[in-house]
Amino acid sequence: MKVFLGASGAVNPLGNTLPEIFSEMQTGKTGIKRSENAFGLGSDEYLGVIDEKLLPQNGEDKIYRMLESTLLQTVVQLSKPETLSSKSTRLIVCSTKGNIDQLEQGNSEGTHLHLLGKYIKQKFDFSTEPLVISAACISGLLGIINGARMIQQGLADHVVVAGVDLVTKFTLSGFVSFYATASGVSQPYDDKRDGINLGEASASVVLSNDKSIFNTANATYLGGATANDANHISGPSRTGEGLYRSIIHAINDASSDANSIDYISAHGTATSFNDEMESIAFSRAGLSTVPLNSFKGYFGHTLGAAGLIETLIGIESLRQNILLKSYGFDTPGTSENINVLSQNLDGNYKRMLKTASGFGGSNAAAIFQKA
Amino acid sequence: MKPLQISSWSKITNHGMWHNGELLISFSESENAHERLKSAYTKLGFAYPKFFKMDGLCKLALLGSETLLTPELKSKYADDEIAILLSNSHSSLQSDSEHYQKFSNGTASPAIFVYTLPNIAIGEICIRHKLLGESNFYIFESFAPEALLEQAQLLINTTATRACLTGWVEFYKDTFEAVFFLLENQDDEPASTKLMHTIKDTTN
Repeated sequence: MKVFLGASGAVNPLGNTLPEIFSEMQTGKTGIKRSENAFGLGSDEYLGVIDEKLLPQNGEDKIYRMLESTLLQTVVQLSKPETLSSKSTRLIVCSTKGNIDQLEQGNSEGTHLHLLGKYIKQKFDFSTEPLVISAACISGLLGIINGARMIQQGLADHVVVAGVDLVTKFTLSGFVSFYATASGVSQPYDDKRDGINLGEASASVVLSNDKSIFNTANATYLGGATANDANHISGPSRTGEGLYRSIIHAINDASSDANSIDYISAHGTATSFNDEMESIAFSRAGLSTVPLNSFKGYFGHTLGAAGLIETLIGIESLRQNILLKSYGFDTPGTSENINVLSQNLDGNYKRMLKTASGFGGSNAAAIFQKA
Repeated sequence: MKPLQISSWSKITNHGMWHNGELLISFSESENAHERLKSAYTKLGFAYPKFFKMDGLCKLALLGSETLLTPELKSKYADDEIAILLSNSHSSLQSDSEHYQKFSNGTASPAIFVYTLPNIAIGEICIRHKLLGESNFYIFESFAPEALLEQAQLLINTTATRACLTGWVEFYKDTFEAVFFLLENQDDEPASTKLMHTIKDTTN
């Protein structure tokens, strides 16, 4: 059964629609800015924070307004907006930390991740119970894979996948304690890379077995997989085993082969170990020559939203036949050769591999083809 | 496609630990949560020093899975044929609160921060048992066995998965509960949400 993707929405530091975000990236702009003494932690950090003027003003906490922004974009791209309320439509929400800022307000109940699903269900009139996924930095991509499988198996006709995460003192202080944050705008895969930029984003997409619900269907989902490294909870596998296996399983699930992949939208956090691990996994999978980029230098690592928003930007790339340069990349800095894009590239691109990896040894890979 | 069966289950609450209905240990009222989990660790004959570095959620997940992921079971399946689907309501809120206390005092610690994600519990099980298969962590308002069964069956139908460790694992404010089910295709009574609720909610 074919699974179509469409009605994509997104908000991040570069804009509050996907075309706007893509156009800013195409001109080489980054949404990462220096924050002096960020959150009073004592160090200057480079962060991708969403300006309030990009969001609806309805008195809700920022995270809910980010979700509202992206889902309103999604709704207007549906030729049949009543799809959301159908009993055959499911909702998947992906986030690592949700509204964790509520801890500082003394409201630990307000941090509960199921509240994100409840909010969307009520605001957009869903009739089924949301599934909330919290699986570190693969959450957003896992949401797509999970939703697509539900359609393939007839558990749903349509699945709305939404992802969101904030830049918070909670998360930043943790990454600073790991000495994992970059000294400037991050440089994935580059020889001089020295850590991540945190960013915030929300994104949403509709998966469906019926492309007539969309004004325009953007892509089809061909296959996907996840795999655990079974190696370390906060460091990637030295052999890239989990990422390698998830790529191989995704390729098999898609009845595809490595040669048919035109482009890789990779994870590329710009930490030394992660990017090195990815180069090993891509090389083992026979993907060394496939053009590849990371979007982290454009708007930061958006954690639970990353796999989702990056998939949607990657699909936009296929649709416009322009692969974007991997922001901040100049000199190769991984032990295995991979084809990191140092300039935007025009061509004819149909098929994309999207990957993500995260804490807990988690890895995910999925393959998409433009509609 | 044969329906999935519960081939074994385990349960740990503040009162004790059970395996397939058999009481393995009763916890002493005088012990705090971590002391109770240490008693269970000793009772199971664990020799895994990393256990003591973990947060409560991960300790609980490791104990709950130990009696299910036996050497016999693991020899039946390849390392990516056993999936893990866990769930809870409070995510990693216990470690979140501890990290919050730390960074508020300017002393954030990687050793605590790393446990501020619920799926770390899955990572710890995978490391202990060398499992490289599919996994997911769901957050529900309350125990939702229908969703877990649905998702386990989905993995069996669409991936290399042939067995699935699934369940509920919650550790917050000195109260804890893990109820784990091993789901396999066997000639036995099909797994039902009623049975899963009964196992979780029966006071043994």
